[in-house]
Amino acid sequence: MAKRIYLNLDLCCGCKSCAAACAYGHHLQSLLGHSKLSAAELPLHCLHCDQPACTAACPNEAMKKMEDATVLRSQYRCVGCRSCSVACPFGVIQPDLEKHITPKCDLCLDRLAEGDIPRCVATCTSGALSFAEVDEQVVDKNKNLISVRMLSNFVGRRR
Amino acid sequence: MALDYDKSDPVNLGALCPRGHYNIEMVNHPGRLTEPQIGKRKVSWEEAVAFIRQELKLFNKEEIGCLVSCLLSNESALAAARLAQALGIKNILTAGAAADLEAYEGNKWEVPGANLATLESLEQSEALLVVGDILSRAPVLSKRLNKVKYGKRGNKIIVIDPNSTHTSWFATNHLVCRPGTEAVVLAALAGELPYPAAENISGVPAVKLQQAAEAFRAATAGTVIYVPQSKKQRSDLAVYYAKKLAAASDNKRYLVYYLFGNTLGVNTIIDREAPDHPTYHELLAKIDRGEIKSLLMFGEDISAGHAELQKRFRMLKFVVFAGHFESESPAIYDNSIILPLATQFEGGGSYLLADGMIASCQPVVPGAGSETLAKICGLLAYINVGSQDGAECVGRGLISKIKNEGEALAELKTIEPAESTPGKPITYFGNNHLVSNFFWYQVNKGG
Repeated sequence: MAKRIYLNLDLCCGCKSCAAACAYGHHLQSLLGHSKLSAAELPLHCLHCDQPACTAACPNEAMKKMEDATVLRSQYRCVGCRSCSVACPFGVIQPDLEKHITPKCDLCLDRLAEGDIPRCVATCTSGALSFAEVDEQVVDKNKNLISVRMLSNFVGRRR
Repeated sequence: MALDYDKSDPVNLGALCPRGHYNIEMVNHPGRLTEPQIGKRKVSWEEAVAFIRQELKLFNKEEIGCLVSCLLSNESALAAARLAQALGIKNILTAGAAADLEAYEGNKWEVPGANLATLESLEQSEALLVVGDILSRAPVLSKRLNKVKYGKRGNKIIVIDPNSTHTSWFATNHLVCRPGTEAVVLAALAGELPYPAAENISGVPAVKLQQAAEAFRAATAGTVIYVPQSKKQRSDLAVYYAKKLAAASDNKRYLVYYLFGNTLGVNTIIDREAPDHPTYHELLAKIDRGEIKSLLMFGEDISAGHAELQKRFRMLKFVVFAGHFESESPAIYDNSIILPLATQFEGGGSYLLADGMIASCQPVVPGAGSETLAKICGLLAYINVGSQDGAECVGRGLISKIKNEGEALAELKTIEPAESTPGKPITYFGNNHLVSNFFWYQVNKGG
């Protein structure tokens, strides 16, 4: 089973060091999406879905599901139509309208090849990000994706 | 140059905050200054030093002022103080954030039995009392905050802040006071002020104050963290009562988290080396009266982006400062000289940290122009290390009159809450793509 990046909303303090680390690995362009409100600065990682909507929506086959189950974007095939960002059900692919590019998480392939973890997980100041297999996450109930913080927002009051 | 993560580091545990990441850009930035400038004209180091010597001879010793930045290392601050002594300059003082300097004034008042917190005691504490937004100041502490919050059932994180911030997300008790009344809440928690009186001033319900005070008192180990911020919150009084709170029992400690790293060290050194130095406002008044005609800034130009200070500094005849980039200032001061500033990676030295420990840093990369710098150490060796603007100092009066307990209590009663702006409720996940796909969002927002 392939490993994925998980976010524990209870621990995240919104410091954005994951975005800074990502930018340093990828030619000063952060590939992370962020929730776009002033108060919340939580990172939105690509989930690398089993049946990705972005690959189906892409007209030029720039988005591809690779053999190792990661979804990658070829920057030479991409025409910048932003279909993928519209199709993505999680709002993870956020186009950069000024630079006319569509950044997309590649799980830091260069570091994975050396047996290391992605940059955002390595630098996370609060320990909210983890790089683990899906089954581990389901077993560990403390790290559920919908956390107390999110549910408390739903109820309408903070803890 | 490249960044990597050192998991064995005791302070940050291998995590870097965004400021740490982006600092590295400064070293090889194409717009960075590498040569001294007189006005807009680029000159060599020899010419610059000769120019400074020649200009300084024109003034009396009393007409020269020195500002030492709070980001200098201990060695550089000591050298700056000694240099001022050698030149006979008495107008030497530190320039930092106004709230930092105010908190340092409070730190001077002695409270027997108050101990500084360390990293270990922070991890072991069962109750944290945080004043201000520590996580936006130092995200690296968030791992330890999480350890307190989730480490043991019943642990408390009490946050005193008028705003809802990143830190208040982690709070078990969030005391929402009126802006500027943090010192009153701390005094009430320390038992110096009755709860109803504190409620009148700060607006925090007496029941909540009592709950928080009892929770903090009951914890076997606790830490008070104070973050000076540039609001009108009387940082000196707040630090005094934070110390009182820590002195109440042996296992309670306190920590003041200054904005500029070496505020404690530089202030202590300048106080020791030049005991009768003027305050910041006395120096500004001297500039206004025309008694000070030239200014040496050990560190960056503190008036950058501060129109009021620039207006005052334009009356000066000669200004020396350092900087990373070409600023607007050379256009303002025709006769000023700007020297290239070393980044944090190039200048080594020792720093006095907030927990009272001394950390020494080694230079990572060879400094720009470090060989030529060695030539001028006779006069200006230590002008190459940096600072930020302490510009906001102007708007605030730094009061350091209080010496005993009775005066502190009398001062406390004069605190009036600043005008509170009606805050709009913060919707943390409002129109997000991610959230709008969740079922409960559709239930809640109707679509």
